[in-house]
Amino acid sequence: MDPVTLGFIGVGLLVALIVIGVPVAFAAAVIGIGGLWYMRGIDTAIGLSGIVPHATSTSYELSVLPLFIAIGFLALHAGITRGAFQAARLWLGRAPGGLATATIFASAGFSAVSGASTATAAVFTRLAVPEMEQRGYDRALAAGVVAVGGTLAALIPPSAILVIYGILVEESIGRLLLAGIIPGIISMAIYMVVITIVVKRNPSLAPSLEPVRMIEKLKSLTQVWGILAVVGVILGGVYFGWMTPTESAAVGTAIILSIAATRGMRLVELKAGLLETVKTTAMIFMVIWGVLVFVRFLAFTGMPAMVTDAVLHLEVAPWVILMGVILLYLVMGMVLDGLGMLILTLPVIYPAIIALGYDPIWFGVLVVKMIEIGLITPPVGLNCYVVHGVRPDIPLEQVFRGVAPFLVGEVVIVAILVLFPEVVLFLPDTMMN
Amino acid sequence: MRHPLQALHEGLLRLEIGGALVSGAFVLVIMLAGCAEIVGRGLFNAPIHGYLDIIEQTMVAVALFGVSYCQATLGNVRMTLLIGAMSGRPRWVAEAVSLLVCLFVALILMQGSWNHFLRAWQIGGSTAEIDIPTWISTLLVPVSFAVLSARLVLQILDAVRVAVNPDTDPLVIPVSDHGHGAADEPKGDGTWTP
Repeated sequence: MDPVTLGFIGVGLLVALIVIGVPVAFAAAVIGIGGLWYMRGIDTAIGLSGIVPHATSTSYELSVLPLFIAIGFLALHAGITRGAFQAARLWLGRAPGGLATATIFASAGFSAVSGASTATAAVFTRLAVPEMEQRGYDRALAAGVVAVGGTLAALIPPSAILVIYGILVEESIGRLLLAGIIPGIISMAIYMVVITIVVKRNPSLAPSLEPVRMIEKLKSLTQVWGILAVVGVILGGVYFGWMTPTESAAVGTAIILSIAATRGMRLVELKAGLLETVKTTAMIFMVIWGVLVFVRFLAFTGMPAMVTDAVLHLEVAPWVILMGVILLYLVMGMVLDGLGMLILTLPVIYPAIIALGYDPIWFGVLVVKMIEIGLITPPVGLNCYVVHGVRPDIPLEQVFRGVAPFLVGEVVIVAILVLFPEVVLFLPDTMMN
Repeated sequence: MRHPLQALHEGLLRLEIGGALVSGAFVLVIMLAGCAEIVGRGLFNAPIHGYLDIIEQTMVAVALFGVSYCQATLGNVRMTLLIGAMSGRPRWVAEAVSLLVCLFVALILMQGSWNHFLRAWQIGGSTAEIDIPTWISTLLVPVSFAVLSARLVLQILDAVRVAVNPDTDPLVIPVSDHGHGAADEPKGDGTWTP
């Protein structure tokens, strides 16, 4: 069989295995192993795939992942989340839809220490939705806000999915982390504009809160110093070239662990946090190994090179192809989870996009943004399911209805990222070595 | 009387939790090493000798020691859009087939990484800075995949048992019914999807 055809068949089988419920990591690995076996024999398949786990694990760059994940789980136990929400509520509560805006703000703060979208959505469903309901907020708006707020975790450092992207395409983790900051802030600002517009049009959706004394507002800031310290260390350390991403994550973890300890975290909680960290780390590494075995098979078929060649010979402008890719991610996001999308698309699409002259760091941020939009679009918007899972009394349709106005905002954000790549590349380009 | 599968499951789970906790302790080692490196390099112009070697070799245990615990708690990301919509015998037949695919991969990776270990053992390589023998970390890989294979065998036996008699409950496989194309993990604060 023609190797390129075999490559296409491999991709098709991978989609089929993922859809029928085989874990993403194993689905990618089995296709990779099967393909290598078919093309080069069983010994080559075993030999090539057997090296991958050790070779990948002994990468210094990857050591940033467990630390970022540990920061997230320890932050939960340190009570940082609640402090961030209370501070945001006191400062922003009087604005139109103030509690909703405060939720977005606090989600961004929590994202800065967690890096995981669904965890952020789950935490704020417990924390912010009851408070918004108590103050007479529309339930769909409240649910929509927490689902959308969770997506900020993918862009605001430390973002685990940006790290995974960096490893899969061999790009600088430090540059990727810095690249996510401004798009993350823009996303946050646009979500706030959406809330303001929605509430101005229908003030009954979000009654305004009573005024708060300045002294109380100032006091609340003492609750958020942990977040500021972690963000400052990670971004400052990487930006000014004082630390590698791993070192900055090590200091961030130490800060969060110290805060958790001073707030009375018990040994059993530390144990639980570490077990969750290890479980998530193992899951991500399994995915990375699976993808790398699959990519080795694809490279033997020559299929990615053929696709790149075909794309380069298309008689259309590069931006048309880029629009096609964005549309593809939008459609895939409706039925696939983020890691599945990365695995299926990057080995084939990434070389073509780079050959067209687009920046790999910028494309990484765009891809991650599209994946996050996938987390809130029906029918498989995972964040919406998490909200519904934590609060089964809020129907799924209501969550999706609450998210709908924010999807308009997402279109604006993607347009900004595409039209002004500088917003993504400014920080990494000025980063000091 | 306890079902033999359950006894095996509990014994293996103890081993898996132990491995995962060792892995978690190594995460803290990486944290301490990173902090010490910054202090040593930044304040005293004295970086830790062998810092990179320590991190790289430690990472093998961090990445590998949790793989079986992750599978035991159904932590591997997968889509349950189709399988979650099934029930009874078809559901458990599908689970068994999916787990068989996982077992095949785990066995191939175990064999391949064992070969890799044998080469490291025979050639006798070591790390660049402080000469840690590389066979130690290469051995951790097939050992971890062997434990993962044992876990998958238990899960397959359990899935087949329930498929044969759909009125019984699974003993080894944690039940989750998300059925919406999401990560098949417990939902809550511990949920993680990027």
